[in-house]
Amino acid sequence: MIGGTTDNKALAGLRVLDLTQSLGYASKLFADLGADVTMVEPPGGIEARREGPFLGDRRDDNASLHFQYLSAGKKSVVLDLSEEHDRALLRGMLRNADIVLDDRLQSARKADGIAYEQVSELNPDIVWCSVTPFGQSGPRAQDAGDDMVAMAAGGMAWLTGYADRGPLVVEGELAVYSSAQYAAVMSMIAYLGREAVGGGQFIDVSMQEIVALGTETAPQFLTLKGIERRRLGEDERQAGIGIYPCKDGYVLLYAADSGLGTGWSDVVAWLRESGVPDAASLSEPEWFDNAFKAKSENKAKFRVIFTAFAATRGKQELFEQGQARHIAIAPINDSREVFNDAHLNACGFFTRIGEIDGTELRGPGAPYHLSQTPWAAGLRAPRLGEQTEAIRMALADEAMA
Amino acid sequence: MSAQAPLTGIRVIDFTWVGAGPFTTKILADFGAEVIKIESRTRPDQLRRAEPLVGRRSLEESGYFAVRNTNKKSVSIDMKAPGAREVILDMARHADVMANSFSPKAMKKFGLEYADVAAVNPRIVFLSMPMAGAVGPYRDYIGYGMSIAGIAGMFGLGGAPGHAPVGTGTNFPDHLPNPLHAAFAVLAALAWRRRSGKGQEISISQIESTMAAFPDAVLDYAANGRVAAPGKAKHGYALRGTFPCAGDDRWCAVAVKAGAPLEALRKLLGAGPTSDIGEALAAWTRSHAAEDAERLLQNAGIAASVVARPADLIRDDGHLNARGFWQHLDHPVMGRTLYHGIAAKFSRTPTAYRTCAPLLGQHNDELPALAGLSAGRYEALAAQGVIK
Repeated sequence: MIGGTTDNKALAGLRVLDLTQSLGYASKLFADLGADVTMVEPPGGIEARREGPFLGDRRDDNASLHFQYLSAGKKSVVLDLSEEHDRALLRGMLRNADIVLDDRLQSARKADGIAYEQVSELNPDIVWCSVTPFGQSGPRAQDAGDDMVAMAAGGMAWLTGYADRGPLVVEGELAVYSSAQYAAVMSMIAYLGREAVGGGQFIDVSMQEIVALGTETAPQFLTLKGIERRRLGEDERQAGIGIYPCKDGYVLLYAADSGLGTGWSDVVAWLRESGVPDAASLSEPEWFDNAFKAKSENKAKFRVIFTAFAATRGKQELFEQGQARHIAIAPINDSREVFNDAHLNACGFFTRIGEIDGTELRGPGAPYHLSQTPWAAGLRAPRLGEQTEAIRMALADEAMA
Repeated sequence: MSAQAPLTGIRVIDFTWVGAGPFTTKILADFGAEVIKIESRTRPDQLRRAEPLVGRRSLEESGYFAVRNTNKKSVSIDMKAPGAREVILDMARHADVMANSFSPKAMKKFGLEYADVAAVNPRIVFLSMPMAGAVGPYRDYIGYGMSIAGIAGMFGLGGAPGHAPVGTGTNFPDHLPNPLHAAFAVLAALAWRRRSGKGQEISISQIESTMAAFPDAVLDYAANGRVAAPGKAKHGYALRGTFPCAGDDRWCAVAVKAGAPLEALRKLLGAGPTSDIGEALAAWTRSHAAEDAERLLQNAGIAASVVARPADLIRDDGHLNARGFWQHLDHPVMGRTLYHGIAAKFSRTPTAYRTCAPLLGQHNDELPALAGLSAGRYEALAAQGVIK
């Protein structure tokens, strides 16, 4: 239908069923570009309804800010899959769906008669994307997992933390959000590829493997150089690439003139022009050699010089002045500083993300700007089962027709 | 008819470099798109010189570059040379996507902003993904994944209370949140183009993109004025952390929700309802090898895993190898080396890599076909140093 559409929703008409408990960010990506997204919830609601943060001190099933963020603009249907009647309804929904997002093993779905191989007989174009902690196959397929377990099993936790303490995991459920994003991308690839491939397909996504993608070069440092990367704590990778204290917190500097990094000479010029003691010594040729800068005595020497400079300056001031010199320096912000950041507010980034009992909520807005098909968050998340009756009736009408 | 790769027929002109951009276009390349990297000998992708390097002192020996650029082609064009712009526009006439991760002024300097490219190909999907987006006070600011994590509030939430923040220890936003958002936007734009016949411009701020997939701390501050800090217990968990095991620097991560999992853990440890379950678990893990602790906990239905070291990840008998996650490719300079694979198995689409990362300019001889250049013009451009 070339040239036939005038709509401004990139994914209008695309039907997505979300069967997951906590991976709602995947279907949010679809919903915010105009797809028709329905969450299939068990009678008590999915777990995301009970995940924090919450509004104020409330902990009830309608108080999750997290759930509002993930679910605004979606539909909610409550089905009790222990009942054949509801399983039949789900099969009816699956017959009409383009993409299914799931977080269970197929062996568990098979017992309910809704595994991919059963559903694809009714709907050969369906794309079924499953995300589980360790994937559908292999010795750990049955293992339980969550964000922290995935970060440990996938090798990220080993890289995070202090040299003399145990491995850590950054707050914020990074493995869960990344897995949701990964599932959305893989589903879109399979959806777009239906003609090339000759129909839909099943996609087996492993959270552990997604986390392993985040290990950067740790496996290659080991296999190419025999070096085991591990957590360094606040110790920098090399002089000029790392975290440094300043007057009101920390800045992250990423300066080098070869390899990864840029602007080492600019940093030295900045320090010299600011009258920092010993800064001139950093212009010596050995300071352009990454191996020299990775030696601990040289890291320490730079740290003394740079910290003397940064100690009298705030992180935002260092950020703006350094960037004016084309230096990759950045502040380490907390959530208050992020929410009040001048750039993000000038860009209008924060937006309405939902509402709870009439209280409008604000939070992160568009991850991308599409010029012809703008991103738009829904007004609010659905109440538990808000669309159950409408969808039952629509499927009954279809059966009658 | 045999099945084709899902993105067969999609051609991408790729100006992205370093982290997030090349991983975005790698996803497209891995599923059948023809991705053509534009670099030059005077301004190669910085990643070509990034560790781990195998020690050949060339632009073809970086393990970092290799794993980010599978299945791509490379043509070397000096964008500062007169005539380079016209070559790119000629390529753009036959392309579906053009991508860059420069700050906005770079594409302007090249004369290759969206309007320039759309004038020759209105069906193009034009992706720009600088650190700070197209507008706003930071629009020309530069940074790496860690810088973005710092600005977005992610870096500060890695660490222990009372200590300096440490982030993830990696350039995390480069590897997952930003390339995945960018790839989704491009795929959605391609879906809309099928229906509308029209291309469009996609503009991404990597700071905003990182925050969209890291929303919870900001949601809490916006609604409640609470400032997040590392080390707070997550709601719904009775216990969550890494626990020391027998041996040197071995750890097991354990995540226990209140209710049935907590009861299962008490039973496994023989811990009464009044004892400190965290202390009891730490004492128990110290007396077990990490692998044994993981198995015993999992057998009791408790989410747990060894904190995998790099060597654990790539073990021949490990779960990741059983699933065929790791791949090996032969490279003309680096030899046979290890690559992260694709974190998904498709029932009808193979996910084995076809080719290793391209040598700089390896596909220059395809330029006449890619840009519709006559042999004479190609030779003239090479003689002028535009193609080199």
